Amino acid sequence: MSNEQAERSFSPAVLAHFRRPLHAGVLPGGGGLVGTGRAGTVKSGVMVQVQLRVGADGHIDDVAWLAYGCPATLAACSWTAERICGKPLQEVLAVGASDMVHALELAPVHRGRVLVVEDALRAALDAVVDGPNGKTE
Amino acid sequence: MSAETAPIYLDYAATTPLAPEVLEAMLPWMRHQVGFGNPSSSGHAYGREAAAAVEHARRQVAALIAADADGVVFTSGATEADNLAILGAVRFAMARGRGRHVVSSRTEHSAVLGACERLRREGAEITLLQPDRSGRIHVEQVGEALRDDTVLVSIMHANNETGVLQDVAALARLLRPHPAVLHVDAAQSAGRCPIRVRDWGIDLLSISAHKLYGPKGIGALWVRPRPRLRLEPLQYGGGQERGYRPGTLPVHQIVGLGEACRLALQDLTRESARLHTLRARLRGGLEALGSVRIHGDGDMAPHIVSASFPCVHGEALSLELGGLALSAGSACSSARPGPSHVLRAMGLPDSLASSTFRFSIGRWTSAEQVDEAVAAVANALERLQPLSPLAARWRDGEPLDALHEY
Repeated sequence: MSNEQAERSFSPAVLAHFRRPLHAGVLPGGGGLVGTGRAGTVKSGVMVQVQLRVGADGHIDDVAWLAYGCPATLAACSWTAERICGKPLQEVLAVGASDMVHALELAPVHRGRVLVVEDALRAALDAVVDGPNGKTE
Repeated sequence: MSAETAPIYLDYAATTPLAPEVLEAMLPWMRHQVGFGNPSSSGHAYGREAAAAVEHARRQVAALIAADADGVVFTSGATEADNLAILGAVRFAMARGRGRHVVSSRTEHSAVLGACERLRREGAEITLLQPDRSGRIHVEQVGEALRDDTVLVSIMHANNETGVLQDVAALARLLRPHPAVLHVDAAQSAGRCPIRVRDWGIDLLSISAHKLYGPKGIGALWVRPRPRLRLEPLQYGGGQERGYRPGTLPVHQIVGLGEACRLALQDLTRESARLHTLRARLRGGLEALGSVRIHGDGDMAPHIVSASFPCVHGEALSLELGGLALSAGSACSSARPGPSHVLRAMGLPDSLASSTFRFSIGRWTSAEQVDEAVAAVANALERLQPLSPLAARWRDGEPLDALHEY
């Protein structure tokens, strides 16, 4: 596939997030309640890790992600991190794969992959909401 | 694609640009006034001139592979040559009850594997040998696979995905006392590596013009003329090419193949040495990046480096490497989704195979371009690895292959 073709198969929003991903990395230790969620496998082509830090006021203070995946997967992680950072938990609980598909204008072939991003986000939320005081990493 | 934005072409194993000399040689045979004659029209000068041009090209092709000119059969390319060799030899033998067993390998080109698969449905038995992790088939493996009813052994010279060279001269020696014929797909090696059909004792050899700076749509199968090796043809018609491949000969294409072979032979030693040096530079540059696995070892064709980049997804890397024209993942067939059968046979995990790129260099590749390509890969990895959950674990000491088994 030539690069021109590759670029045509991704929306401008995917390309923008892919080129300048936001919140990529690992949260530094200490301070606040941190939840880590993981989903996917390398063999299936998508593996995602999402970390959230929740402040005392119930807002997401910080987000970090790492992903092994195609440009659409990386863009979905970046978009999601930007979307939820600073937002109250209740609002973040409603964010899912369909929002990513809509916001990033994902092609049908890429839609299944962002379900893994949603799974990782859910797992991270579970860790802070349901976990015994969450997990501090 | 404008000239400024054109990516660096590193896909010479897929196809090569037409050499200007080849184009010049072909043009007269496409002009209205001369050169349009049918080489089979021996009754007039138009036909005789065309026939002379074809015979001249036949000698040029034979010279490149050090073979007798009367063994050259022009085909539409290496895929047809492979099919004619394999289907033709085995169908001929099976029809006469001489055997029905074929030995080939898991890393052959799809044209060979496809023809073998077709023969299996016609009642042949196919043994596909497993290469070692470096991609090599050992002569002893072929020896052990041989049976009394083996009629054909088909092993490629240079692998199209990895550049691994097989010792076809040793194979031919092994087969000398056996009635099985040896077919060699030399599409990647012809014009890049020395080939000595007569000295080595090869029975059937496929080549393609567009892999050696000739036109697309033409190739040749060399068929041993003495003692005459007989094949069941794939098509029937006017008896051209000794009946092996009937059909009016495309004179301009054949002249182009001949000229391409002449140029390749003239420059073989120098160009092969130059490519080997460039290839070493490319391989060394990529290896210095650390998290890379190069496929194939030992005796290699001078123009291919196959490299996997663990920890990053192939599609992400592919988008990032837009300035390079490479073959990604399942090199050679964009129509084939999924991991490459060649890399799989060499034991590579599928997810790692999908982050594999084939860099192939040629006549117009410069040292500067090689350095630019290595720098582009370095930049891409530097940008993408920090996003990957695998990269950190690799730096913590987990083996690359194991990371790709999760």
